[in-house]
Amino acid sequence: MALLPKKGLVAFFNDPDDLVHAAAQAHEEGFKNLDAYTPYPIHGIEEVMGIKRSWIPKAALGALITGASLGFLLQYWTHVLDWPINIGGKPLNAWPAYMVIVFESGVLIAALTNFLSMFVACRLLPNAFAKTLDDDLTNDRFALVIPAKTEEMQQEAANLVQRMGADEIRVLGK
Amino acid sequence: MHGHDLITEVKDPGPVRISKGLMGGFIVAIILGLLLVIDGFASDSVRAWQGLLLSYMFFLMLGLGGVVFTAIQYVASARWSVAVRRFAEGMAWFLPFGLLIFLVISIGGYGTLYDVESTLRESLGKGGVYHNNSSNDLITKGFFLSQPFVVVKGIVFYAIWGGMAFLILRNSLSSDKARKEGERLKQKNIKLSIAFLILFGYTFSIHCIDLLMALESKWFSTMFGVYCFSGLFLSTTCVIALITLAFRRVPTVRPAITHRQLYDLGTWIMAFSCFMCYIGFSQYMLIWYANIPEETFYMIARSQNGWGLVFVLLPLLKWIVPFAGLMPQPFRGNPTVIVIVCLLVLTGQFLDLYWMIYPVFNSSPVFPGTAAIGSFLALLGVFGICLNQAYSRNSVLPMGDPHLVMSVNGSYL
Repeated sequence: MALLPKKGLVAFFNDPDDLVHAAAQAHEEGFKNLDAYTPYPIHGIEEVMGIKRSWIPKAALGALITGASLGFLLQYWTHVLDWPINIGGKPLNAWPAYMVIVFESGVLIAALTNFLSMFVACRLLPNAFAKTLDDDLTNDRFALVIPAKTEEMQQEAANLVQRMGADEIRVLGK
Repeated sequence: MHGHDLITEVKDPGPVRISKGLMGGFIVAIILGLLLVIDGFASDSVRAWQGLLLSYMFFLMLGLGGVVFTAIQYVASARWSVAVRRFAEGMAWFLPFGLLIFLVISIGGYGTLYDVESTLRESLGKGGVYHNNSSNDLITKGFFLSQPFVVVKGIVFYAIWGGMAFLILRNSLSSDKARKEGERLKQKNIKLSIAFLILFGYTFSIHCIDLLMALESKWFSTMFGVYCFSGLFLSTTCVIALITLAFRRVPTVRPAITHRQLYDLGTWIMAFSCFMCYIGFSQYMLIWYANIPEETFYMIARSQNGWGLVFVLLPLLKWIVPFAGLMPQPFRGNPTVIVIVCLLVLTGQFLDLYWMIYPVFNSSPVFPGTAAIGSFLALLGVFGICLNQAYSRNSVLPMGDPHLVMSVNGSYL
């Protein structure tokens, strides 16, 4: 579980639609760095929470190009430079035959980078401070985390989620 | 988005008639096309037959592709595509005209286009050009590709395609009237679609072997059927996307065609452009790598004397354009981008068939001939009128499908 904000508020909902509406409302009223915990992906929630696209696609593209180039270089080095052997009269740099391995190594490195950078981007790396908010978050409950530093902001956020049908509100960092 | 603007009922837009101006355009295209075809046959009948074969394959793939798309959606119980499914179903109305053109080509043009018997006899005289084939196999191949058998096979295939398309479309259409039967008819269509897809796989491959691979009667490729299929599927998806965009301009249909359907169609085009490139590359790479004379002469003829330029255009138009054009998320559901990409992909499909057919008779790229342009125009007109027939008789949305509302709302996500 990602690290929680030091001060703020967690609102629990029983209905995913309520969560989406509350998140949209909180974003509209100017709360920043919202976070949501749901048992399954809810499409469209990132948009209403104002979360932009992450840097993961860029990292994956970079890894893809790196992996594909490394795959090509490996074959070029083995077939042309280190141990040139004439196979069936084909040119040493038989690039059409290389393409399969270029593709595979590109996909492999890109997929692994994608997988690992997801953990980094979501701050899901192993750490000693992670606490489980609520066991039912993996079953049938939905939580919205609103960081709020001051008392007034916390009160405002509490009023908001109450209006939107939260069934439990917990204040963080008392 | 979740929870917002959900609808509980889709309004029946009823049948939609193609505008009179466009229908006039189609009729003009048919008349102009027929005149050009006559001109083509009068000046150079060999090239005219190639052009006719090209246009026939292009539009057969669309007509048949409509049924294949529908069947795949049924088999997968797909929900996203319910709102656009009837557009694909309408494309099947072209099949009867396909049979007509097929008979013209296989009866009238067989002698000009295919030299199966003489090539095989010649190779028999030399003791066989194949390394591993005994002369007995060549006799089998000669029989398989002989004119009477090609005609008989074609008629049987059309009976299968037409018959199964008729049954699938009839079930889909009758669920409009008897909405309570919707679920039962859908289950029935799923079974029919499974049978159709299995039969289609074999029959379409053999049809392409009969009409396209037989042009080079000494050549063979085990990838050929799936290569033609990937072209079929890519071009069909593009045409469905274009028809969907055209229907978005009809006010009564517009509410049912959301950004999601466009986005999913864009994703399909992108996915199948990768499939097309994968199959095309596999065929090329294996022939290049194995380097057996019986296989390589096909690729050599198609990569020299200017044909190489056409060859390079194929992955560019059929893979790089859709892949790069539809990769950014905002572009995938953008009508302008989809139209540009689809038109370029369809150009690539035309060039692909041109690249398969014309090098047999021409050592370097030539103008496809007035008959090619004419028959393309004429069949485009026929295709448009077939679509009008389909869309103006029945509702353009499958109103009886139990998942229509789900498709429009995007609640399949």
